[in-house]
Amino acid sequence: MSFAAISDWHERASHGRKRRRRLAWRRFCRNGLPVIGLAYIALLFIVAIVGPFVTRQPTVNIFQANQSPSWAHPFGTGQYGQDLLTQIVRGLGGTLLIGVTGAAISVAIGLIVGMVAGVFGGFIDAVLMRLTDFAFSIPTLIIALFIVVVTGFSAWNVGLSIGLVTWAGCARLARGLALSVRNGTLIDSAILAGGSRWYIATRYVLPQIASNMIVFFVFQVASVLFQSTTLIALDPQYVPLTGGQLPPGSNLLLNLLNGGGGSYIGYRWLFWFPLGVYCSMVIALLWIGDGLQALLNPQQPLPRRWFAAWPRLRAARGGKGVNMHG
Amino acid sequence: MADFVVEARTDFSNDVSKQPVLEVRDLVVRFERADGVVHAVNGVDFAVRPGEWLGIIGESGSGKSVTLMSILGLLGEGGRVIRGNAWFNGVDLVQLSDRQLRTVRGKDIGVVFQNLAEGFNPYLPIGSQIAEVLVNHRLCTRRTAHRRVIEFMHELGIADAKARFQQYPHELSGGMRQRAMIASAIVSEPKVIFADEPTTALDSTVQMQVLALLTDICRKRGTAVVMVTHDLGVAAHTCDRIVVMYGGVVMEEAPIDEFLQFPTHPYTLGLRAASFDPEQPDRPLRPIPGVAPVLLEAPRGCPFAPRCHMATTVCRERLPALRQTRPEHRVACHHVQGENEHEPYPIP
Repeated sequence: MSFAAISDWHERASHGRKRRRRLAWRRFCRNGLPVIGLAYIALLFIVAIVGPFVTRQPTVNIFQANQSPSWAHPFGTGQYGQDLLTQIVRGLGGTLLIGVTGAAISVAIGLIVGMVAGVFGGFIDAVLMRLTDFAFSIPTLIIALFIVVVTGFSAWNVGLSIGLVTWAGCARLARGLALSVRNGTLIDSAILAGGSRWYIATRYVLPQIASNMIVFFVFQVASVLFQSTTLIALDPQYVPLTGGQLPPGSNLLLNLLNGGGGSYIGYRWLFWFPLGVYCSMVIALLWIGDGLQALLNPQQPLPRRWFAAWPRLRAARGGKGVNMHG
Repeated sequence: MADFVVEARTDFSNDVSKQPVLEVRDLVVRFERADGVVHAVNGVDFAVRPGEWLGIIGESGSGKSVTLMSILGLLGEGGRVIRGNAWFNGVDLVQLSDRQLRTVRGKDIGVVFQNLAEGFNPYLPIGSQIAEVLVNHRLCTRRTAHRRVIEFMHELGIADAKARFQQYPHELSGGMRQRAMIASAIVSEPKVIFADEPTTALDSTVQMQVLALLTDICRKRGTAVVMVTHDLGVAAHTCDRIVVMYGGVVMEEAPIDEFLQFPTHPYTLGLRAASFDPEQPDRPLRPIPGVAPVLLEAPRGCPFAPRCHMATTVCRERLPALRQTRPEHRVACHHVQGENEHEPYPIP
């Protein structure tokens, strides 16, 4: 009791933006998983940047095909004798770039279209929703392939093209959520506070729908990667490995596509290693997404600190008190 | 009537010559719904003088809140003002465009909502939400707004206002949140405040505190208040004048003393019979039989006729006009004749 009171006093003693930021970060750390996810994604980024300089040059050596993991080839080799670790590390940069740009573009467009439609309503809503219907109706992969063929195969272009054709779902979702927020006392009070449409959209509607958008974003990353893999394979001039390298604009999932079938005849590493890296990346993103939801929502309870033990140690050393109750 | 009822009076209301600050005339509001047109308000007249507390009472669904929201242009989906005026400052608010209305609502007319849970944005600190009123209406800079809001919160009895300023709505108790709501309604120093059941969500001790604060702060500034409530006790305590509404029509209108001593309309009597009277604590509370109607067509006769124990044929055929029965006391009932023929009906 007294401990809680003291820490409450600490809590109240500092206020303003600093306090809000600190509380937000603590909500993010609430159950540790977001921190693990963040660390893992950061690690993947480092590997993606540093890896190509550290791993061996990608080569094809038919005499070393389908070797199981060993010290020379920690992830084993594929059907053309390519070192799987090299392939995965080199695919990682493209994976992150395609996934994040593609999902960011599609969610950004969808969010703007949907929220404008939902907040403004009326004629604007009707026009934007017909536009969304159109975007829904186009065969996304084929149009994306056309865009990539014209602009050239690269990670940026692949992410961009898929983002440009897959925003319709997000727009629908954002509009629906905005509509559900729009009619209510909350928005009435925003109007009474003299808020313009823009003010209401950004300060009242956006925070309410943000958590859904974050979840959508993470799933969109997975979906964009999956689609981009299909896109590369749909390329008429698709060659699995050109000079031992994955084709430009591809991601590590292509390794799975190239060799995953080999697991049927006992080359299990060809299946499990690419899949493991990919799935763990998506899961880490999901955890970060959960953390972001908590971070953005001030009503989330503060941490039960089973993960972050350091503030307790700091308190024991006579540092700032910790609010155990949250 | 009990003494406590009489003491909370202002003398503004006695000054009949004072020009009303808000005057609503023949307001008609309809909602277009999937199942037809709902006739929510069917010709409402009332006026509020500066500094006066006007209480609008009636059952749920009698069009009280809709009347206020329609004046502010906040009717929501499908709602439309069919005819009527709401004169405020020499301008008819009903005629104003949304953009013009934006400069009035929240600034010259403040609103205190009933719904505490939804009244504030859960994602913004409470203080900055109150300050937004000043900033968005360009009444002062953000820095000055910050200072003034803290002063206001202090005046409204919010302890430790500086720290509260940074807290989120869910970190405040119901009473605190209602105080903050009052602060946001009054911080721009409006001429009129619409209080839509301001204390329904609070328990009775906090309710009295909040009402006392609101009366106090409004009296100091000479702010007129239109309060929607279905609590006769609250109305008796705070209001100077009462308007009784039913079925989107004004049934009775009287100064509070008059209203308490000579309630006239059968509906008013029904309301009185259904609520606790400290003078007669042993009297059983009697509900009015039936339920308030959803008016899918404009009422032909008196909207209360189907539930009225005195209803006759004429009640079902013709809408009674508001007629003066005593000085400042107006009643819409066919069975109340004229100024001198008044005789209160027995409680049914």
